[in-house]
Amino acid sequence: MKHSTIALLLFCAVGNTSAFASPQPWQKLSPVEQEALAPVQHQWNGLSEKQQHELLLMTEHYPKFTPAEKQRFLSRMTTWVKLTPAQRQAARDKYHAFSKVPPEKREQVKQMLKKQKEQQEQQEQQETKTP
Amino acid sequence: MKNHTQHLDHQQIKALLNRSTEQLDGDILYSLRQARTAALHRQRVPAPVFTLSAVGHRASAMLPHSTGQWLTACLLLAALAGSATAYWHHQQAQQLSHLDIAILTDDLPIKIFID
Repeated sequence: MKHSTIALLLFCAVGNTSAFASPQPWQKLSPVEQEALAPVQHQWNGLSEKQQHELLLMTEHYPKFTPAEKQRFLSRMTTWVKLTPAQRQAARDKYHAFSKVPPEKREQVKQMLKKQKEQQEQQEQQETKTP
Repeated sequence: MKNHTQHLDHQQIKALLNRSTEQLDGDILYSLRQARTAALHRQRVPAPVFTLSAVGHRASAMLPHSTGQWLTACLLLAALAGSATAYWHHQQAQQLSHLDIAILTDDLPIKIFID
């Protein structure tokens, strides 16, 4: 009884210290995980355990995304994975700071970006028309 | 009637005692005062007082005494520390995950958050 208690405690002490699971091969991912991570399929086995763990945590929420969110998530995944940990952290900090901006100002920024994008597209169209 | 008698007796006794006391000499009065003080001191109710010695006594009773008990206590502490660390890591990871999802699904383009 005493030995079993000690063994259980040891198991808890050692088992809890591993924060990340061992790397998972692509083939062992669930269909939902494979769908959410499809853009990084070729890089998957080369990713660190920590990064794999971070991405897998995100895929838990993937089924609840709207179609528009799914589309944005998939299109941005490749860019996100290519970033260094420091760049990802900087992006998180910026997003966190931006989330504290009042909604009206956020909307102004969105409108401004939308106009910029439209102007850019118009310029590109004109450039293609005039060789 | 009975009460009246008792009252009279009480008054009489009081007067008698007062008179007797006036007749006592200094040594006897001093001895009586000493005896009264001693009696009051014995009757004093001890108030509960927080003392370090009491805490120390209780703590030493709770501490493990044998090697086996020490080993079990250390393992328990290690398990608790491990669980707390794992929980903290999990919470941190969840927070990061929510932030990452927000960046990847927001209607604002990702490039404005990337240098």
